[in-house]
Amino acid sequence: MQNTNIKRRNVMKAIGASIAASTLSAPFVNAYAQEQNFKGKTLRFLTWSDDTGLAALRNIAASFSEKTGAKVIADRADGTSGMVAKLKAAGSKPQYDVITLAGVGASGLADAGLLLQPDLARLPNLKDVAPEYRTGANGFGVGYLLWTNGLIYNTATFKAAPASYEALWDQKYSGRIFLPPPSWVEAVDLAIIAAKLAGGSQKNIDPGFKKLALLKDRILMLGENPNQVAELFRTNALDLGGIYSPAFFPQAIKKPEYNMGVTYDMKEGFAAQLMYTVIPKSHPGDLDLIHAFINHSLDPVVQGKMAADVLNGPVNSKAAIPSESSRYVPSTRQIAEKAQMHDDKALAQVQSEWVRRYTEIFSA
Amino acid sequence: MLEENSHRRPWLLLSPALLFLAVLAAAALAVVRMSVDVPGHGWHGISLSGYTDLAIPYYLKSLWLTLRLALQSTVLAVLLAIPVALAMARAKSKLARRLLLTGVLLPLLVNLLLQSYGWLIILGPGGVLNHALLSLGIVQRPVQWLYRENGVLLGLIQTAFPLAALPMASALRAISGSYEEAAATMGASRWQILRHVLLPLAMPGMLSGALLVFAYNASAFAVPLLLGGRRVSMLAVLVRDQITPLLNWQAASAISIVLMLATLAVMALSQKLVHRSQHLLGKTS
Repeated sequence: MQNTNIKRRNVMKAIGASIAASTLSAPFVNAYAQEQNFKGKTLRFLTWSDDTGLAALRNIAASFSEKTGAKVIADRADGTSGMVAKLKAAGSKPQYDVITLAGVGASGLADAGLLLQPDLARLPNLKDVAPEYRTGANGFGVGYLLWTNGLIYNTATFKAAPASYEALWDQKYSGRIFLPPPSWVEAVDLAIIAAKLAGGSQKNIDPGFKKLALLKDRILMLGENPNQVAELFRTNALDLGGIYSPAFFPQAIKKPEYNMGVTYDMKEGFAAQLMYTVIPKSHPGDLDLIHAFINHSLDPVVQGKMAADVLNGPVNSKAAIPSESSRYVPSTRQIAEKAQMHDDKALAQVQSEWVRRYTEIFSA
Repeated sequence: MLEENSHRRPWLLLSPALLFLAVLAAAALAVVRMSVDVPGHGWHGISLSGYTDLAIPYYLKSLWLTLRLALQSTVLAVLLAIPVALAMARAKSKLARRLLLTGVLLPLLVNLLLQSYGWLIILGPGGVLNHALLSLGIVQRPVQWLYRENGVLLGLIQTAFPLAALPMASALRAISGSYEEAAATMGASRWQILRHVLLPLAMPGMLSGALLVFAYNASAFAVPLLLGGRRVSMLAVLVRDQITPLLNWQAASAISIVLMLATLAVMALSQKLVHRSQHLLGKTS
């Protein structure tokens, strides 16, 4: 009897699948089929050497292997510049099929003609990703996570999270605030935020640097080392700082003794940057496999796990983030309403000068 | 035949070392080549823009700051190393000598990141020292020891201290005790013996130590980054800025070459000055 039921269920499934296949568009079906047929195939994946890279191996690579039978060989590099250097050094014979990296690296590689444009029709999970987060780097990168920056505040000092970036300029926190270091993209976004607060914009940045200069003698440090920042919060030497991502201290921020909280609910919004997966032009692996892998990285379950582990914002609007991590990650509502991304192309022209100006302002 | 073999043997023995040095030299030459790249065109073409772009106050100030902090840390490290080196050279007990050596070597043995946390625990705003000063009512607010030039200077001295102390101890140990005895017999005080006998004789060791400290600290990266709170922009930190996030390898290489040349120039000059003063001293005595 049981066997009959199973058989009947299987027959029903087969009929259902046939109907679905005839109604869904072809790429979606292809993607499903592809995911089932990668046994014996190998994908070479380059990612970061830090916790984010480890989380990608755990949540994306391992689950992809389990799901499809494909073998994923991972290599890890120390930062985006390391990845760019590795790919450039390989020239026309790259050893990787997929790379995850920050926007600046993706744009640099795209400009150097080292990337292959992905076929978005083979990424069905993109349907749940807002159009502005789907691609970037001239169409060569597929957005896979949002690096989100909020204000980090001392939970022992603040009864409620600050609701505006103006809190950084509040005299009562003088000597007890930190800002991002000049070489980080967070510093660039902070300059833009300051400019907007002072009536400027990314294109009219001078008011921003003037406003930042007011903080010169009020900051304790520029947070180059996240562990030091966490330690200073633990010892109550810091009240407030940012903009900064909790992704820098995913373990410490969850421990109450570190007195750290993060807020994205500023009335001015919060800064976000897309992180990308890219395909090297002369990738050694199978292109179907590569697209299936990128599609898997956009799966709502995978996205939820990644967001929870590395405290980045998911790009998939259906991602479910476990409750213990959800207060450190912007919600899909916050991302839709408040996330702001700077203009990468315009920034590339001025970033060097901005790094210089920021460094000069805060030199001790 | 035998004679020919005996000529070849030293070169054969030297070849592993020469090969290693050749690899280092090739890497250095690659940096020199990158410094004259045409931006965006890799190694196709030559441009000096990487160097000319450095002639602005931002980089010149950083170069001055780097050389100044390296020089200050060298002088202070050498001065602090004198009593330690003397104790190491004159200690009779083996145990005392070993303990002193271990103590001096500790900054090289302990991870720099860990050392920076040590300083944070001691000198940080919520650190032991500030806690004590606040409890005693000596200060009303925590004193900022770290994330300023002073914090970086402290870190530079501490991390490079073994480089100053070890060559000096070795030089002092090589000085025969009879010189001290002779000077003492002639009525020289302990200070006079140190000033007029030991230190001049140990000068080569002191000079090598000083040069090592200077070169090591002129290229310091981790100390200004960790103890300067990124507010003390020594040149090596600016090299990193050019690589990440600006991906400007040409500028990074040019800054590295300038830093290397400036360091070599200061070292050569100081060596020359010391030799000249020793020569003059020799003439007058």
